[in-house]
Amino acid sequence: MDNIVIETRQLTKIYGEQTVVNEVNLHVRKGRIYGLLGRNGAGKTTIMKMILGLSSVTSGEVDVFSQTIKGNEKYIYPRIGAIIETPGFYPNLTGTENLEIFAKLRGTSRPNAVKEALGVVGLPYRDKKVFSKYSLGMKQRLGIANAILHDPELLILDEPTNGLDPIGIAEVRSFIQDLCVKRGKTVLISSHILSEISLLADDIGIIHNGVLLEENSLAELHKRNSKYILLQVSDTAKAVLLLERRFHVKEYSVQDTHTVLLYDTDLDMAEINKALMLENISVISLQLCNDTLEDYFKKVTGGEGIA
Amino acid sequence: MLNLIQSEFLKLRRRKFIWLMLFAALFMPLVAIFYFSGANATEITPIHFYKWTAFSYTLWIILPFVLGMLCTMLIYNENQEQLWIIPISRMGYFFSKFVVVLFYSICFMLITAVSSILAGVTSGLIVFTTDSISFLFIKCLEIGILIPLAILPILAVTVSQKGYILPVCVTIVFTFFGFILLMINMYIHPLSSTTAIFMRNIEGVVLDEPVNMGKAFLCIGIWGIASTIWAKIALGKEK
Repeated sequence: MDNIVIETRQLTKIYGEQTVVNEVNLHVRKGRIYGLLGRNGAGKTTIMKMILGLSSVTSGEVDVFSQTIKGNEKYIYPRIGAIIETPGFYPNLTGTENLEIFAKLRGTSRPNAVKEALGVVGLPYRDKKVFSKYSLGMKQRLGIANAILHDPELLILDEPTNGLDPIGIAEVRSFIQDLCVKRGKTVLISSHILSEISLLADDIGIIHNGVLLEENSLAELHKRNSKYILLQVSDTAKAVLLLERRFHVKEYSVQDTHTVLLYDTDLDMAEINKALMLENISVISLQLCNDTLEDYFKKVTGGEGIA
Repeated sequence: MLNLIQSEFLKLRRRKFIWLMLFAALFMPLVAIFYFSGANATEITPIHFYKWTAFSYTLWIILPFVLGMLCTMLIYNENQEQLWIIPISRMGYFFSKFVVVLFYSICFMLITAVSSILAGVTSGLIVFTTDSISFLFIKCLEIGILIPLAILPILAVTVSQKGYILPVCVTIVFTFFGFILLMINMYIHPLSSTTAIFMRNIEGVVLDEPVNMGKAFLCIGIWGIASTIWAKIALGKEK
């Protein structure tokens, strides 16, 4: 249990009649990137707010660094860097001036903290542009710079790539991975973009309508993706008969008059092809297929899928 | 706490409107020049002149309204959630805002004092005397310190609100009632009580009954404490 940085137990949030987060058990392990994946309105931000103590918990418990936030704010918050929703800064100040204020409030002792944080996200130090003139991407970068300003152990990032262009997304991904791999930081990141999470996270939690449907490592999720042989023939009835008799195939499903899916992927495809040809059954297609992560998520979320 | 106060002042950079509001301090001295322009200069005492420039509408309406606007502007751009996870204390946040309001109020009244003297002396309406000037500065400082305490309820409303419409409306209503209640009961509204404390020793001001300083400070104190408690509850409330 020592390597669990965030743990929630039966975490629930109810607004009036609506259950926004329903008995979520989340486990974020030290030194890993945990991707919280879900559609807009699935409950990701609410979970993050409850973890940070910014939103009250209806029932359940949250532990961060094995302690509850309430009453331990002074010890826990300095170890966390966070962006929740859109980063809010002072529009009349430049990026550097904004970060200097936060550095002062945090009591950051490193003299170059602001310069370094801006450097990491690729924003200029001491430029004249005020925050109100920043593009959405620049605002997002400044939010990330603020989150890493005090060199925290844990980063909680709520959709940090919102508004970034593809190159910006790749850069953010790269430095989040660097923070995790080179500096041993733990990251909890939320997103509704499957490709982003699958490229970045070590562990994934899939949340849908406030319920954590799945929590596993990315590697394990990849393993779980079902593999099958797709067989398209001129006559499925004849083909299935042959497969049952000659190859003792039991696990299959007939999709239509021309398509059969075979779930035993150890079958010799060349032999199947040869046997079908000898029986005068035309083979249109015979290939090994693999469900994509997206297919898997669609399955888990009841067919709705994730963007 | 010192870092918080320092940050509050850093946040004021390039807020032109906040500094432009200081020009409101010149309004009553200019009005006084026009008001007294037809009068015989020998009949106007410095205190009489200062009553117009600094001790009346500036105290009753202009300064409370300007400070109410300032409170709204100080809070409007804050993303409080980002501050709580630093963490900073809710009450520290509230008092750091109050310190800015207090500092601004004192600056405003000092500008009023200087502009009153300049308006009076340059127009030849009053004679420059050390006694009257020291009295003016002491009284202006008194106003500059008491009015921020009296408008703590407005500050409490602004910190508990996300928008600016309600705080602005509250400022207008609060200031208006402070002025109206002055003639009915001075010890109900903190702005009226501030006027009562202030008017206790102004030459030529005759009140229906002598000012009860205890009651006036009690009124300001009760409103101030209630506002602080309200702000604490509102800021501590988790959504």
